[in-house]
Amino acid sequence: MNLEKTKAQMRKGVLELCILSIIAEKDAYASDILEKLKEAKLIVVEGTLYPLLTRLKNEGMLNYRWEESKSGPPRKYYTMTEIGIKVLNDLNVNWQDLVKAVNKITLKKAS
Amino acid sequence: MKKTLTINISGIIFHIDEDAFDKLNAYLDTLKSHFYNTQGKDEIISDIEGRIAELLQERITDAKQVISIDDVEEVISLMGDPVQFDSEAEGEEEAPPAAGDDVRGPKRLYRDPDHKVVGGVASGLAAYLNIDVLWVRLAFAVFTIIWLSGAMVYLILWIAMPEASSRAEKLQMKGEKVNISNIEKSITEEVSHLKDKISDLTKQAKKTVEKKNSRDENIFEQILGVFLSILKVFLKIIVIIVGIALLLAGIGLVLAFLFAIFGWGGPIILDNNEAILMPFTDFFSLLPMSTGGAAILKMGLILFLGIPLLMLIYNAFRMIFGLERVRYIGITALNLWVIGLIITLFFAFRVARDFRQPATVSKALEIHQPLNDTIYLTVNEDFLDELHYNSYDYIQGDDIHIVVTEEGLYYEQIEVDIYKSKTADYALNRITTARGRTIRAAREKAESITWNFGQNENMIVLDPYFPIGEPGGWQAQHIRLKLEVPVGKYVSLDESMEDILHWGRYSPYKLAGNTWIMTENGLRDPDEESFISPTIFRETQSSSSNMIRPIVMKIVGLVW
Repeated sequence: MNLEKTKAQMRKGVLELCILSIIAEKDAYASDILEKLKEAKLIVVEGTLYPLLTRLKNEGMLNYRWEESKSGPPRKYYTMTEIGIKVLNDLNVNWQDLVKAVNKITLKKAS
Repeated sequence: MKKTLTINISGIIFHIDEDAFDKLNAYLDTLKSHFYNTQGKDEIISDIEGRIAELLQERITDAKQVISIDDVEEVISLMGDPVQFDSEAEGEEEAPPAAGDDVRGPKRLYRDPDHKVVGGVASGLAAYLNIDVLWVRLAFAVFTIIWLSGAMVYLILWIAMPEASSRAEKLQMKGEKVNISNIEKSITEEVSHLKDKISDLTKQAKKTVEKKNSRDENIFEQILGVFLSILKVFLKIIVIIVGIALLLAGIGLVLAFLFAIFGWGGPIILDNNEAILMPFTDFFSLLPMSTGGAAILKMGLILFLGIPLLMLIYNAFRMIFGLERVRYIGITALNLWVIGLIITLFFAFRVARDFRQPATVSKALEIHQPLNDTIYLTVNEDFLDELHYNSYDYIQGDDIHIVVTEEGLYYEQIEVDIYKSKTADYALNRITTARGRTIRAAREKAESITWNFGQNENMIVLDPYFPIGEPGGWQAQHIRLKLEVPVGKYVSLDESMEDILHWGRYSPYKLAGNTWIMTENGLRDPDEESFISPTIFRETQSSSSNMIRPIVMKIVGLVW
C-alpha cells in the first residue's frame, strides 16, 4: 500500500515535465498526450490529465487552438508558449541533475 | 425493451439508454462537485466531456447505435474517480477522509449513514456545523421532550437531507465550517467567477475588434452569461435571507399552533370581531362530541394547519442550505392536507348541526314583595368563593363566561337586566336559552338547567353561575334574569353584582354598589336628576338568537 503511494508520488513530480515535453515535440490534443502517458504508465485514469492541462494553460505555459475532427468533436490542440518552453528547459535541466544525483547513489549500491 | 434518450455531448449526438444516461449524469455531477473550487472548472469539465464524447463514439458501430450502461461504465473507469485525479497529479498526499482538512469544495448537508442512530440527521448536522454530535442529539432529545418539536424538525430534515452515499458526498459532508465568513466566501467565489467571466468578455471583445471577423453570437452569449451570473449572486443572497426569515416564521407558527392545539401555556386570543380567550383543549371538550371525535378533529386540525407550516419550514431549509427537491413530498403533503381539510369540515358541519335550533323557556320566579320600597340584589358569595377556589380555567367570549373547575365541570355565568315593571309589584323572570339539533332538544336542554336563588326579606341572593355539566354538555345554555322594578320604587345593587349585570345596557361599574329609583324614563340616581338610560323592552327571542348566532359562527370560524 505504502509502496504504491511512493510510486505514485514519484510519477506525480515528473508528470508536468512529460506533458510539456510531448507538446513541445509536436502540437498535441488530449488523446495524443493520453496515449503516450498511458504507454509510459505515468497515469492510470484519464481524468487526471484535464485539470493539469487547464492549470498549465492558465499559468501561461500552454496555448490552444480548435481543430475540426472528421470523426468526433472538435479537438483542442495545445501548443507551447515562450514561457512554456522556458519552464520546460528549466525542468529538463533539473530532471537531468536529479537523475544524475539519484543514479550516483542508487547505482553505487547496485554495483 | 429499453427507453432511449438523445443527448448532446460536446456537439455530438448520442442515443443512450436511460440507465446509462443516469450513470453518466451522476458521474458528471461528481466531477462538477469535485472541481467546484478549482480554477477553470468549466473548462476542465467541458474538456472531459469532449473526451467522453470521443470515447463513446469509438464504441458506436453500424450494428450498435445506442450507448449502453456497459459503455458508460467502461468510459468512467477509463476516466477514473475524481479522488484518483488528486492522488495521481495535483493534490496533496491523499489524506484519510477522517482528517478531512484538505477537503475542498463547498460543504453540503447530508445524512451520515456511518454514524447514525436513527436516520443520520444528527451526525450529518454535527458534521455540517462542525460540532460534537452529542450536542445535536441532546438538542433533538430535549426539544422532543418539551414540545415534540425536536422530533418534527428531525422528520423534516430526514426527508429533506439526502444521504451521503458516495465517498465524494461523504467528503462534502465534512467540508468546511459554515459560518458567516464562509457564507461570505461562497459569495466572493461567486463574484470572482463573475469577474473571470467579465474579463473573458473583454478579451473576447478586444479580439473581435482586432480581427473584425466578429462572432456576435458569442459576445451576446457572454454578455447574457455575465448578467445571469450577477443575477445568480443576488438571488443566492436573497434566497438565503428569505429562507432564514421563513424558517423563523415557520418555527414560531408551529410553536403557537402546538400551544393552541395542546393547550400549553394558557389561552389564545382569536380576534374575530370580538376577542375570545380560550385554550383549544377546553374548547374541544366543551363541544358536544365524543372524546374519539375530538381526537379525530384534533388530528384533522393538525394536518390542516400543520402541513402548510411543515412545508414552510421544509422549504426554508431547502432555501438556506440549497437542498435538492425530494420527489413526492409536495403531493404527499397535499394529500395529507386535503384529508385534514375533509376531517375538519366534517366535524365543523357536525358541530354546527348540533347548534342549529334555538329554544327559549321563560319562567316567572316567585318572590315576596319587599316590606319597604327597596329590593336588594346580591350574589351568593359562598357559591362564588367555592367556584373560584376550584376553578381551573376560564373560557371567555362576548357572550360566554365559562368557568372550568378542577373536576372538569363547567359553569356559565348568568346575566341580570333591570326593567320597568308594568304593575305595582316587583317581579323576577328567568329566561333560559339553549341550542340543539332540533327545537325539542334545545328546549329540553333549556329546561334541564338548574339554577338557584334565595330571598331573605328584602334581599334576593342569586347564584352567579349555573352548571352546564360535564364536558360535551354545552349547548350554548344561557340564563338571563329580568328584574322588574315598579315606578317610584328602589333597587339596591350590591357591588358583587358588577360581573353579572348585563353589559351594554347600563354601565355595570356604575350600577353596582348603588341604589337606584325606577322612573317612567328608566333608572335614576335618587340624589341626582340624570338618568342612566331609558329602559327599553326588547324581544327576548330575538335577543337570544342575536346572542347565540355569533357563538356558532365563532365555532365554525375557529375550526376554519
